[in-house]
Amino acid sequence: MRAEDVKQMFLAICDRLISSEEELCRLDSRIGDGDHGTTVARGFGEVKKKLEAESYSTPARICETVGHTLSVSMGGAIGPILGSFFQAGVRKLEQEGDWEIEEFQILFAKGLERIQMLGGAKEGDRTLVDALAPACYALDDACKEGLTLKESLKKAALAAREGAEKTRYMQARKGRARFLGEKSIGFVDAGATTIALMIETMYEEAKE
Amino acid sequence: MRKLLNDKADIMNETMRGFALENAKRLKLNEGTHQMVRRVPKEKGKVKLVVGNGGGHEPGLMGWVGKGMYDLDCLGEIFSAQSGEVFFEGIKAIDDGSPILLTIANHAGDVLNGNMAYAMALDAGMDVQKVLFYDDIASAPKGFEEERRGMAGMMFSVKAAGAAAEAGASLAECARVFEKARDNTRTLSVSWLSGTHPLTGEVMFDVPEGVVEVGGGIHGEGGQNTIPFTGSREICRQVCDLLLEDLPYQEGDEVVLLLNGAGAATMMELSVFYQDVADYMKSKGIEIYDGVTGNFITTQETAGLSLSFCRMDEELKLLWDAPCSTPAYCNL
Repeated sequence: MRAEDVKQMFLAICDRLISSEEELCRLDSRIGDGDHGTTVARGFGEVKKKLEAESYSTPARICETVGHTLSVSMGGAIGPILGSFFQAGVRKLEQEGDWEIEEFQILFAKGLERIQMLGGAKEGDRTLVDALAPACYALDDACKEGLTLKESLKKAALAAREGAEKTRYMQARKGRARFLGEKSIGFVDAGATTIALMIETMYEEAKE
Repeated sequence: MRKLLNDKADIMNETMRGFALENAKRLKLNEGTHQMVRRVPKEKGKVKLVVGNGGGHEPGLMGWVGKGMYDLDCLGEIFSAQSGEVFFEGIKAIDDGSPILLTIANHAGDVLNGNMAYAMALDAGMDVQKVLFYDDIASAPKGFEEERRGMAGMMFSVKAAGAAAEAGASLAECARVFEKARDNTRTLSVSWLSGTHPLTGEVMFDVPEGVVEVGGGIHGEGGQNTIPFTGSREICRQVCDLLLEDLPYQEGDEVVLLLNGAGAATMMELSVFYQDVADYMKSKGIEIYDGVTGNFITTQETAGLSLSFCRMDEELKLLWDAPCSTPAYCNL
């Protein structure tokens, strides 16, 4: 994918997440403070403004902008966590021109590693890692199998959604929800849902 | 939702602007930012106390910006801490080469972004030290104190470190008394009616009829337990017992008591509860050296309160009694 295609992909992610504000707030309100959707909409609203105002020569520069904008505009724990996801792989990908499956795989792997370093969440803690980690593994496998970018992102999107759904049965061990103990069981995690929406949009926007 | 506001997107800007205008003799809001600073900066060379956190808790920590307490409170959005970078910008704005004590209340976002700002300050060659605050006994069991949330009891640590800083203590000394006050502080909350979130308009948690929730958080996170809504005296007894047992506070101890309203507990209710605490502490042989009641760290119009004890020794008493002048608390 060329830089222009990656930019379109991110603009589509912005639109998807901005329009999901209500759904994400509703999920968060069961166990959090109910503003996850608003925070996400604020962050991706800023990203949209930034991306539309500038042109970019490489996909890595776009990711850098997305990550930095999210981190600064969202704040909270989610800002640096989502922001660093997009920024972590940038240095390694700086030299790359167009992006194929390998570049996405690096972005995801580095991003997951950075998120876990910053937040300390493991799989099963009922966080966005529960959607992101399976997506990363799916991309790794797809990469090994030699699938196309579109096919690979489809597998990642399915894995992310399945991972998000599984948070319904998990007791929170990180974030504000952890103080609820068993009360946190029974609802899908809002952050994990955000990740699933994001990767689903990546799949939809990926060029064959 | 019935809240007297203007545009949703401007809530924190307008809140901070208003708060700075109301307290113009003591505070200044740096133009175009969420940096609440002192009107008259502290003398150069003395340790500066800084914090970064989310809004929606008004007065919150910006209520303690002023002589004897904070030098900077850098705010994010409602219930959402500012990014590390924005916090660091705030620190730079007050930086005159004096040492910086970067205080962090133990909440995921505050910690992540506080750590980032700390790392940036270190990289910039600043003389900076960070300290973490936690006091909420409901959020992790005894023995896991470092995992507990930071609540209103932070006032004791900020007061102690702030007084030390005004007196010219070193950065290490300020950090030491901050942690000493923290290690002697315990907090527990109860709430009987949830506030609404100003952005979503939704009630933040449900408290069933006939009970009060024990141990809820300051962002409307529900508590893990409920107890019957009997009356102030009985609820007070249960809250005090949990607090006393945790440290433990024992006969012969002297404490300062902080009764923090969550936003919609009336001064009548807080006063009734206060006298119940005073009576109960007396029956336990624990002396109340001093006490404070007010809406310091609120959760919108939540009807609830948190009770904090800080066990005093001679040093902590001196620091507590030292003068301070901030919008939310004065001791002159």
